[in-house]
Amino acid sequence: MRSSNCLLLGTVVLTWLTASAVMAQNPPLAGDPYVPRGKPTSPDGEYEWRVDSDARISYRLINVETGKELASVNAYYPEVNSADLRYAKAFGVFWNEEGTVVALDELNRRRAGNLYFFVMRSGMASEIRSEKLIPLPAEADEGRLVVDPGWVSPTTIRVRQAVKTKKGEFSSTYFSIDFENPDAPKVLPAG
Amino acid sequence: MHGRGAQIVRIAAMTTTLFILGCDDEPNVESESPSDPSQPGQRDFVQAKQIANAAGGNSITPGSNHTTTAQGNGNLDVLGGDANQNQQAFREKYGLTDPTQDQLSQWDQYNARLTAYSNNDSDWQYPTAASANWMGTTWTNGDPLAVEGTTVSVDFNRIPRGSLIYIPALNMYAEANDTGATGMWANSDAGQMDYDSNGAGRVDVYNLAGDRSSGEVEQEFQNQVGSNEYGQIYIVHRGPGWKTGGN
Repeated sequence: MRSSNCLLLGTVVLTWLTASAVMAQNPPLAGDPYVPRGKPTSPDGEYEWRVDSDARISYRLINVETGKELASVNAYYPEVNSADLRYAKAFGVFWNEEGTVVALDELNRRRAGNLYFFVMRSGMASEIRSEKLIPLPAEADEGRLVVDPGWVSPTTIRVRQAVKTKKGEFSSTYFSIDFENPDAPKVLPAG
Repeated sequence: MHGRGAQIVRIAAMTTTLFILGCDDEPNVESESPSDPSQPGQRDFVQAKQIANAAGGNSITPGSNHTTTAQGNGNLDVLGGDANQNQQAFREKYGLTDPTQDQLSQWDQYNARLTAYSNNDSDWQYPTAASANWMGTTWTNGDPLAVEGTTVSVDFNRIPRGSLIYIPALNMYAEANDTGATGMWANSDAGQMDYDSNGAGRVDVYNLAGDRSSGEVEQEFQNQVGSNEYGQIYIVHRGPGWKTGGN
């Protein structure tokens, strides 16, 4: 009986781990690609990313209690229609466990969409452009960074740079970005 | 893609090994495995149709030099799959024939960059077109199915979604029903001829890669199109009205 329980537990954990790995990919490896990834609310529940479609589609970071907007970025497809809204809602939000840094990762659709980082300090959010941390290589015709699979430590997130070169070749390169010093994030190659 | 797949396999193998090592030999009991929920398709398709029908607008001007471009040989084998048959069925369904010189001179001609995109692109694992296609079929995620031989991706800011275009280099009619990443590169491409005042931007032609890598698809496509990607297209009809005979 102990053996069966152990195997059952193992299956559950294995399924969870595999599902987590699959769901953290951008684009997702399987299932509905429009399922949001990560969690829009900060670990302490104070802040939340929301999709706004009043005039143009945008992402807004708000203080849940006061409703005050801390940051806002336009969606990759900003026209307000159901297709663009569906795309925008398929975003990923990845907070580190202390809620000091958050990654906003739009759905990767043939390298369309953007990845944003925001550092939270004293109730303020400051944006760090991901392409400044990891620029596209010169030979890139198309490329973008995506979260893959997420935070690997309290201050380090792993990302993937997907590139299509001018010669039509495709590549994926992994990096870790350490935000221990949010004023000077450290970028390292990752396996 | 392969790297990520291998990573997941490694995680699964390691976890399985750990649990097998950690379990004793007592008899086991059967467990139930959850089933995957099916994905809606028809609702999204209807939605996509509504979007296509609502689309429109003119954001670029045709080239003033209306010298007609030589037509290609019309062999779409390079696109893979059933591209030739699909193009033929497309023409029959909508009464399209090889354009005459007179027709070409009446259609609006634009500079464009013709590139290939294929289903072997690991960052495009599911076709995500933005409007309904002529076949009316959808993938399980509800997005219209890309059809080799008739589907192209365009920048909707320059060519309205659902438009009918003609590509002389391939002698191919196509429906502009996918946006892909074409719009994203508009700023970086701004200095290039396909984004000048009468440029239509990137026009990505869907290829069914089969056993070919995406790089091979790209190379073979360029060999077929020639002229280092750049070419011309004609917009036969702006927006999706051509399907119903409207404007």
